[in-house]
Amino acid sequence: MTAAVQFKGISKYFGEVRANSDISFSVAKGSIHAIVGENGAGKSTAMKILFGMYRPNSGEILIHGQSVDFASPIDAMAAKVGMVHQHFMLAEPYTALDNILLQQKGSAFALLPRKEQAQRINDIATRYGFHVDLNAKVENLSVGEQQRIEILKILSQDSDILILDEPTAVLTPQEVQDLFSNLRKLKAEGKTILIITHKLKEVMALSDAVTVFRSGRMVESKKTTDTSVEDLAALMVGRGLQIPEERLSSIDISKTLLNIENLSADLGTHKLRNINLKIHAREVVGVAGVEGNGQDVLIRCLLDSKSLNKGSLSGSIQCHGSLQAFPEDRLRFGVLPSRPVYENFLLGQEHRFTKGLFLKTRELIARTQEIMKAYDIRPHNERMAFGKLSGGNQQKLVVARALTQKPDVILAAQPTRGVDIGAIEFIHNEIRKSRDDGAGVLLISSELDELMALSDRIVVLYKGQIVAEFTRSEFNETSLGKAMGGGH
Amino acid sequence: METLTWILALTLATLRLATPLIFASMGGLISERSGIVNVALEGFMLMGAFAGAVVGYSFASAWAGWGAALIAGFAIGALYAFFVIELKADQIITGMAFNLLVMGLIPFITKILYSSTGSTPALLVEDRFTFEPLLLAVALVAAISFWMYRTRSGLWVLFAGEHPEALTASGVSVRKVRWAAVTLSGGLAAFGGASLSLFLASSYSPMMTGGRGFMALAALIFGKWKPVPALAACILFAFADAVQIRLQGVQVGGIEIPVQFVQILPYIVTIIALAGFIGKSRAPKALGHQ
Repeated sequence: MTAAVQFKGISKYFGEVRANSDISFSVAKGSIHAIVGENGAGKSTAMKILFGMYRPNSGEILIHGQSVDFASPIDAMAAKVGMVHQHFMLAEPYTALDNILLQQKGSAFALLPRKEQAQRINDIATRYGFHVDLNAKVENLSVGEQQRIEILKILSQDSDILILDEPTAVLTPQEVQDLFSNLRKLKAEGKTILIITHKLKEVMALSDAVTVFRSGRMVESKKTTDTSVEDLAALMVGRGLQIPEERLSSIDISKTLLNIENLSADLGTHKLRNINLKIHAREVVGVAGVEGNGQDVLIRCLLDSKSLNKGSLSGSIQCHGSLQAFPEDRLRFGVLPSRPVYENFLLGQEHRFTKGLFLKTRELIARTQEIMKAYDIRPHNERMAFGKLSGGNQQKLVVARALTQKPDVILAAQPTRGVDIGAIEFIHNEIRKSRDDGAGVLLISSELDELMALSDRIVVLYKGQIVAEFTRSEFNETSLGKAMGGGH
Repeated sequence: METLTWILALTLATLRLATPLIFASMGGLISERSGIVNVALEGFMLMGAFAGAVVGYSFASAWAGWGAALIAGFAIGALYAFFVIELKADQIITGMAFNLLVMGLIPFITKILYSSTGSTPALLVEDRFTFEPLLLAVALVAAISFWMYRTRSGLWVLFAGEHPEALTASGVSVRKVRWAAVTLSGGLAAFGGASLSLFLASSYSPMMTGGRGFMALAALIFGKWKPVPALAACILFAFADAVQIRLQGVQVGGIEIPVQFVQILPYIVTIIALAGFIGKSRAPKALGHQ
């Protein structure tokens, strides 16, 4: 049987940078094929080549045995290859239907065939389980529904090869389950699916075959049944990963660092009701919950309670000692992407690097270099614009900035979102080190793995309330997942 | 009876005065909806007013002038498109530069044509428009709302301004869509200018737009970048203008209000509308991005 997709010696250079070199692997028709690798391993580049967004410098791609040369995504779509991008290509003020119709060809002044197409797209949606209200505006739909629109865009073009770039990064555990079962339906109908991810459990759960990328090269391509999470992780990073710690409790109960009592707050759509939470020294408390269940309100209350209306806030927050935070959305709240790395390192610790009115630039740069070395932030160039660093390196700097100030309380919101495995491990270890040095950590995350790896205790937020609390010996994915969905 | 006549006269004056604003704000709306900021409406209008007056006078025909205004508007719109789309010049600065360019260019041409740096010769009263531009303006609003929300190319314009990457991913060139939108914007704004020189008046006089390009811009923002609400905003501003004209020379308690105070009325209404009642106005997301 000819493969649906075959990469034959594909190489791609961006100037001096070799993004893909000599990539060869094939994807069986009617299979789900996972592409894994750390950030910057070249997996997205390879998929963008397949989708016609980049042209390879050498090598060729075969689709159903035919050699193709896509000049643009239009060519790829004509060859029935579709891609769901990590950042959705949807205009928020318009309806799901209009966003799908935009893809279809037709003469410029022809009326949009809204009625007939709505019927047709609804049929497709029902068939594969991607139901979405076509007349709803995108801005009123959840991320999961928006993703369905993107998939419907591809299906409505009758594509039979689907590329999904990190489709689960933005979904809740329940939505991930739905997506996977729908993808299996697509597979049963004979569609071929390529899925980029760095969550290895998902690879094991979903895929038939897996190809591993590391620093621009294809290092392994085999059947999923012939491999394991440990095996894949080792292939991805090129070395063995450490086993999660079996920690003996060393929590210092006598020392409460953060004490939240009867906290209620109202931020319009999101609310918090009657939150009681204590964090002790040498303790990590995880806050689990589907996004939008009050996490953002909690963060606001801790960092910026003055900006909340007096009437909407009640209860008390006592923080004994200094507090440092890794903001959830670092690019919006934590850094200045267009400014050099060392200026970003300065933010929030200006007092340490000033003398009178002036900045001690030399000292600041020396310290930044030191930190970049210690945290292995690459490239080692403190004058580079912060935004040019990869996601993992950006987050490492944000973490370094907070932790080198030796805070007593650490608020870590989604500390490893969009960060590759190597950096995740590093950041987790840094958080553990700070904890061992006596800090208390409040960890807000939507990644169950992360919560379970770090937390001594996990509380679950649901509709603004703490609905469940688990100690380390009690929590597991099932119990947490249930509580996150509102059931106990 | 007298009140009724007065109201009727005021209504008619409002509609006449709204005509240039409607054309210009529809022009601005198409440009901005496609993602290109357009503060050059004032200059586009002046260009249309001037081209319309010159050609209208030469051929003793308002329609000839109307056609000339369209061509001049397309030309200057395309030039603006070249600067902001191809050369990626800053849209606000380029827009203001275009306004200044036109203000300087017109006296230069009048000097060559008529040896004066001021007005153009006037059309005969029977040659100028009596009502036609007003009807065209209203028809234009209906046509744009239909086209923009119901046709494929309308959707392209909306997406060019809201999510250009999505448009590109669908195989439509954002660049071409914006070129078309900005060029069309020039033509429509020029119609607005020509309705000043061929409909409200019968010749071009220096700076005859008097800030109406900016008022049209204000109207389209006040109208949340939507055709029918923008039309309503134009009518509101025109009403203020009509009232202003009526109030000139009116005496309050035996004292005549200085005419300058009366004349600022439409501008004050514009400021209040934009500052006070704009509510949640949401600009196209990619507006002004390059």
